[in-house]
Amino acid sequence: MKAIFLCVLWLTTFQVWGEVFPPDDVSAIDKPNDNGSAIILLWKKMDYETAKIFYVTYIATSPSGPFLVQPIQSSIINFKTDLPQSFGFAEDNKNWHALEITDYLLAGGEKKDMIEQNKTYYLRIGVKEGKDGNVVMHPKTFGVTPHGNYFAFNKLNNFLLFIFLTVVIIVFINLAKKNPNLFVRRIAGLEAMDDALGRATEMGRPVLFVHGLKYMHEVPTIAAVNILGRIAKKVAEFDTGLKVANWDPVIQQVSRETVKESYIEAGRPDAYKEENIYFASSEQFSYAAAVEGLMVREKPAANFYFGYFYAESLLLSETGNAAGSIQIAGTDAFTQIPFFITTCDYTLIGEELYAASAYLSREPKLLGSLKGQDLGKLMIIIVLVLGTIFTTFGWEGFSKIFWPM
Amino acid sequence: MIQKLFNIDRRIIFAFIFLSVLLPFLVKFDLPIEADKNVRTVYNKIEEISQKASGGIILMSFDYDNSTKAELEPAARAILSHAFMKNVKVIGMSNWPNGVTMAKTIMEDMAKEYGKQNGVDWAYLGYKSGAGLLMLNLSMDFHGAFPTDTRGEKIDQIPLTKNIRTIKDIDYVMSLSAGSGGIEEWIIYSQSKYNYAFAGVCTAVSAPDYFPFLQSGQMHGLVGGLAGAAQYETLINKPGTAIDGMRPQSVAHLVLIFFIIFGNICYFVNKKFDMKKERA
Amino acid sequence: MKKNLPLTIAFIMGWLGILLDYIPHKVSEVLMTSITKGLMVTIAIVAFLGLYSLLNMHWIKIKRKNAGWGYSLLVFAGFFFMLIFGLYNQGDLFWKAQVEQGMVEWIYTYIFTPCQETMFSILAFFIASAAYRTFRAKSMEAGILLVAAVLVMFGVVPISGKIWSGFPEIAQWLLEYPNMAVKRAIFFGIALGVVSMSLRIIFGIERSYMGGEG
Repeated sequence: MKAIFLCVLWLTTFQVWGEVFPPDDVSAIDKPNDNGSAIILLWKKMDYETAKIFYVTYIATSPSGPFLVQPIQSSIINFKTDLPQSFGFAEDNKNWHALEITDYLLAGGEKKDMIEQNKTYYLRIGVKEGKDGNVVMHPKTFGVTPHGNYFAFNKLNNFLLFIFLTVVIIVFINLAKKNPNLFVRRIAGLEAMDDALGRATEMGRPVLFVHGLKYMHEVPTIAAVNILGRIAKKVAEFDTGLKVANWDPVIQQVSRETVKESYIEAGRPDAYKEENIYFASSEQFSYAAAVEGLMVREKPAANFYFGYFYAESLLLSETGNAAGSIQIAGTDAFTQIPFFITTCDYTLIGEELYAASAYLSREPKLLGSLKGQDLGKLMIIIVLVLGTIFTTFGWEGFSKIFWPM
Repeated sequence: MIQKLFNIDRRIIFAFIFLSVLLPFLVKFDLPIEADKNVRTVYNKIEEISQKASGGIILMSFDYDNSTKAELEPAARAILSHAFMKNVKVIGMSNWPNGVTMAKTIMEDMAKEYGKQNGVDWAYLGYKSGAGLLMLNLSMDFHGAFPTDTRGEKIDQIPLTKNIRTIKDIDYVMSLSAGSGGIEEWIIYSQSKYNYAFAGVCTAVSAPDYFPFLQSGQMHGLVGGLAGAAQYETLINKPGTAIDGMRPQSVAHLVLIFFIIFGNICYFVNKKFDMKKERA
Repeated sequence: MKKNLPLTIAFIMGWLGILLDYIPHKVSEVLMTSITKGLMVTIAIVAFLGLYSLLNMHWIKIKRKNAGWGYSLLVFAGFFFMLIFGLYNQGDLFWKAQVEQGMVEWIYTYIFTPCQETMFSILAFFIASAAYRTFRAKSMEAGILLVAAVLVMFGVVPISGKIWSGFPEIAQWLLEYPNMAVKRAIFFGIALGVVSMSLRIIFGIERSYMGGEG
């Protein structure tokens, strides 16, 4: 009896005399937040869907066809949940299929054409049971014209956060102009810089500066070059030698200009030697070998490592340690921080690298930006605490607001 | 005596490390290796894309050179073996100029082993400068970023690459990275903008750097260091140099642990000795 | 002019870079592609500057007979060897793609590769000596760090799981939770530092990269 009942239920909900039903609520939309090179076909998940059910889509550039058959899609894939950047995190997303189409097969099935913006495409959908089953077509054709968007609304959270941080930092920079006596906590590594340079002067040995291995347009390197400018000025005042080994020709040129300007500003343009700021090698370990060689031969009194480092960090700092140099490092490379801590006298961790320039100059406008950063950090802490509380109590919506998309 | 041990000559430590690496190469023994979830995810993804009617395409960016060859090449070979075994097509490229010959050799070797045809089942596009900029560029305009492969063939005519216009036409992107111009740049300049499945293969020391990207979903899987490669070899049931290399690596780890504990014992004995001296 | 022009370029390009990231339109992509291509070409061109700097620096060393000037001769020897073999290209000359199994490849495989691998392998020795010298339980915090480090090191060795299945789990837990919490905290600071630094550069407040106090 139970078997007969199940059989009838199956027939009524899944198949009627061997036929499958086409999906309901089908629509075709232009993919939101994109450059106009994709369209999305949407349809409601059917109650009888199993792994045996497949969907077939057809595409044409004219309402009268010809409709080109596209690869069949399993019913267990392609859901709205796969495209949170287009549909967010709504609970109902799991009940909707969403097929993103960026290109389509031409007649013959070998060549493909891309979806072009401002061109209308006509889509049809069919369903079949098993890969070789008969296709049951949805009676309608769905037209859609993709357009490029001028703002990525999926990145709105990111944009608002950026605007907030920008405003806060600018406000604090302006406040700092009015009240220049801002407190900044002591950074031991930067305080020790003068001692290191003094030691180098007393010993009559040079100072070595290393930038790390990022390109010039990347922020850690810009921060490193800023610090180099400050160090170079003090080196010029102390009348000490400065060696800068570069791994990248662009960084080398910028470093030369920076050091030259600093020497001029210190009133010692005659002491500037261009050949001391040189290109060693663009290859990581050849560069490390060149710098290590310099350390062993010239025994610099002080080594400064500022920037983003990789495996060469320990090679350099351990050799510097063996050569008896005072070493100060500053990096935002998380994995290299322990190596610097074990081998250097002082290590600036993470954001301290970016704060160094402001700290050394005591310029109110620069210090103001540090205060702005602190407020940003406070906001992040509040969000983290709230997010943890809400998620713990089962409401994940709050953390989804900050999801990267 | 204790003071001497406390300040042990670094060359003695070097000698121990040297022996701990050398001896396990000579004396063979088996180690139990189990794949962790990050390695398994990469494996599962390749299995998944192999189910595609077209066979699926992965882009492997060889962002390392010979210095880290010992750590990254076993993983590269294991992943290529898996892809070719499952008829997944592979496109190779490099962001490190010194890794070009090496990457090409690896791809040629593996293609030969599995009888795969250059241009149809695999292609190697070589090196271009720019790293992050190149990644951004090829994500938007694949043919424009790499007009030819290393043989000088136009990529808009090579069967494997002619239909790839943007990074979205590739099913899985992975960077085998040893530093700058690798995983991090891929995420910053390309993945976060174009939202595709991306995985990393990296040196063991840099693996913790990428954990936040795994949790945020920006990175799909991670094969970290020689251990990760050995796990991948175990998954595809093809023991190779990674499993062999785990022996010296494991022994070296144990020697290192021994030295740290030994150093601390010396430190405490020395401290006690100093306190006694002060009291006297 | 000398200061204002770079500051204006930094301001325009900085805002352009930020805004283009939020504009998905084709126009934005075309602009971004052009900028990145331009930068890639610049990077390729300045390689010659690096080459000039390298050879010039070593030439000065040789001319002045500075300490270790013999090594500078090796730089020239290495450079010209590779250049000659690269241009000769086993008789096919430089306008054709490099032949396989040629001299360049031989030098690369049998000289360059072992040198590079040697440099990287030195790390293992340096890690051991640095760890021995500095990893001491001098305080409560250092003691906790020491125990955590030993557990992680042991946990990732395959044999640890055979001794007790908890070792790899503890290692993984330490890496994924306490380690990640610290990393994230540092990351937030870095990210804010990057935003702040970028704004300082874009608005021309931070100018020390152009030399002097700015």
